Amino acid sequence: MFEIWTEKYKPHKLSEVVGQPQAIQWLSKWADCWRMGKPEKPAALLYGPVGTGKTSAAVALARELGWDLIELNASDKRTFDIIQKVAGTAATTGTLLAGATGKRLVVLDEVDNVYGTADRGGYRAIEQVLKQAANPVLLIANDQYSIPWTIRGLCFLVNFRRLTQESIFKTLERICKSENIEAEPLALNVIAEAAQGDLRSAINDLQAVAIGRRHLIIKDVVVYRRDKEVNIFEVLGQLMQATSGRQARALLWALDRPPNDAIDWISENIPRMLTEPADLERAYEALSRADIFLGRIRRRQAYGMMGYAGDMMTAGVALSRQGELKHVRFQAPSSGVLMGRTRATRAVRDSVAKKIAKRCHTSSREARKHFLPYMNVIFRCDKNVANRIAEELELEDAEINYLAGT
Amino acid sequence: MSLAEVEEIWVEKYRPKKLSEIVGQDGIVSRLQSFVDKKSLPHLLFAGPPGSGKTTAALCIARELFGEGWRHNFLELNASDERGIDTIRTKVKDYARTRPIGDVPYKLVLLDESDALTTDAQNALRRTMEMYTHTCRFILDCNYSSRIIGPIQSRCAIFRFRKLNEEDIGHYLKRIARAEKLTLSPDGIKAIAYVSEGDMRRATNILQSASTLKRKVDEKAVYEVSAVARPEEVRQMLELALDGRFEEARNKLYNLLINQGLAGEDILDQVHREIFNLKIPEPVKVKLIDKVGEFDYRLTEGASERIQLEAAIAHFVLIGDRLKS
Repeated sequence: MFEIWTEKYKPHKLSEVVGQPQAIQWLSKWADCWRMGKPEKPAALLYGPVGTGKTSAAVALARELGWDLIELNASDKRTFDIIQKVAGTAATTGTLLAGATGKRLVVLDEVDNVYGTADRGGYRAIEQVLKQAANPVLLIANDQYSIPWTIRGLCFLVNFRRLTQESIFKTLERICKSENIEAEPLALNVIAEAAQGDLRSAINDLQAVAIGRRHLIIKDVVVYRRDKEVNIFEVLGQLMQATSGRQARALLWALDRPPNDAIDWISENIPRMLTEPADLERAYEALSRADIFLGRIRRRQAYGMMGYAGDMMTAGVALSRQGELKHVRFQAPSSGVLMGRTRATRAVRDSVAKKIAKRCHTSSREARKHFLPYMNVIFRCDKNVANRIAEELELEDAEINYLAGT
Repeated sequence: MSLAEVEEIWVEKYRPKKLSEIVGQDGIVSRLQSFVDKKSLPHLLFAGPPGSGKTTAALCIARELFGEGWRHNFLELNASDERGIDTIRTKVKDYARTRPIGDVPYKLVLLDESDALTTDAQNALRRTMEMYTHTCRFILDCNYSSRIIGPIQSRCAIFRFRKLNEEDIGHYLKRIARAEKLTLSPDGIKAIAYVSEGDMRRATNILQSASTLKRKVDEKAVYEVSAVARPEEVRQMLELALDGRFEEARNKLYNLLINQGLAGEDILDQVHREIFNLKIPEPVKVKLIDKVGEFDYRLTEGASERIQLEAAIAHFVLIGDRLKS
């Protein structure tokens, strides 16, 4: 009778989606248009950070309106053909076979993960589907800028924001009540705060600490949170003590993270433990090799390379040490978080570079190197010129702000 | 197609519209002019440094051959953005095999940065060039003709554009300054020519951005804008690394990547240049450059910029350590 709470407490109606009044309002408006005919933009793009309710809202919408739901996500191989076949037919064929209200809702989840050769043509397929769609299509993504503007332009944009601590807290409270758990408000608040706007992880954390308990107090939460972190740090410590390749690679499993995540933890902490520059250089050479394999996996979906990547970042790193180890305090990877946060900025940078490249007969790389820095100066110093350039390049607000450094 | 009524980016605004306006490539221009006058054009291969007028020459040829509606019969692709064989097989081929629009004998395809094309793509291109000569002419731009496979070279008339000198750049910049009613001092021209390394595109960008600082562009304004374009932090990062302060160097790196939003390739590019300014023995510099090139290559293979740049820093730490002992 074990049930995952994030599933058990999924919203059944749009109005039950927590903490996104604005997004829900936009989404209902778009759905209403569909009920009356075909809206100007047949697709909507739901974008926002993880755990903010995008997929839940899509499912709730379909259920509420009695639309059939057809879903594709990043775990499918998104080649042109597949998307065309699955989404294309659903979105374009007539309504005879569909649900009672005669609509099918096509949901393309994790659209910002369409990359690599194996997904060749993925975006093109999506674009085509959107252009022909006779049924509602929802695209879901974390980052709107990682999606080509050709696709964004065809969509009605709906932004999901990080939830406030308060609305997470209230949801946790409601779940506790229905589970007959008496919880200290402070305990729930600690969970809500740690979740940083991600409701799903908050509910998961709550379930992890509360399961089998009638009462939940702050101490339970603190101990749970510490265990969660301590474990990784212990494994990292053991990794640098490992003396054989076999021993080291076994620890990757103990890290309990996919290799592309594990490499961030290892590279954050290992260098600080090494005392010899030669060890540092060798360790990084191993990380660099691991990273190359990860890159090949990303590019070509060559998942068979995962083993090599894992071995290089564990055994490769551990065995590069000859000198002494320093004792350091481990910490969670900072760069990964920072890079994640700036992904949007970098996407904007690249889209500006592309526009300049097109206008000025050059490549994006050249535009990034030899135009962007000077554009920065111009946009900061002369608003009039900046405005005209923005018009010339048809820049969007985010792009203008990027160039002006605001 | 009117791309835009606004022309505010000087690189475009003052890009020569006629072959005769191109600066510093007299011999080449007169040959090209005679092709255009006779309306007979072989496939062309333009080799030479960036910003020396290759793309401009190609655009001028298209304009002068086709007149008003030149864009209808002109396809421009940048190979470093679309370097795969697929582009050649589909886009170029589809374009090349259909007839030109209007009263012209053939269409023009400009392949910019064509030395970025893979060998496979170049081989595919060679077939296309041969099969559709009656409907299409190709102009290939590249930095180094040696990176273009022999069979293509032999099908093209090759023109080598020379790197522009201070006089050429000054001539062109003065024309812009007159039109924009700017004051451009002689030391300003000298500085731009030096910083731009003979690249007219960069020179124009420097002039335009310096002019937004003040209407009188002199040496000081030029160095001011180019300092912004080339952050000190790269050198500081390298110096910290050579001094064995890995973590501090790494923080500098994060700042460049994250706060300044630089791409990994661009940072390595600057690292490359800075190596010559470092106070280390000359032979060591050469070794470092080799290593930096290796990391740059790994980035092109799809590795992540952060890990690769950190690894590069680790290498600098090791070299610094060896130099101390």
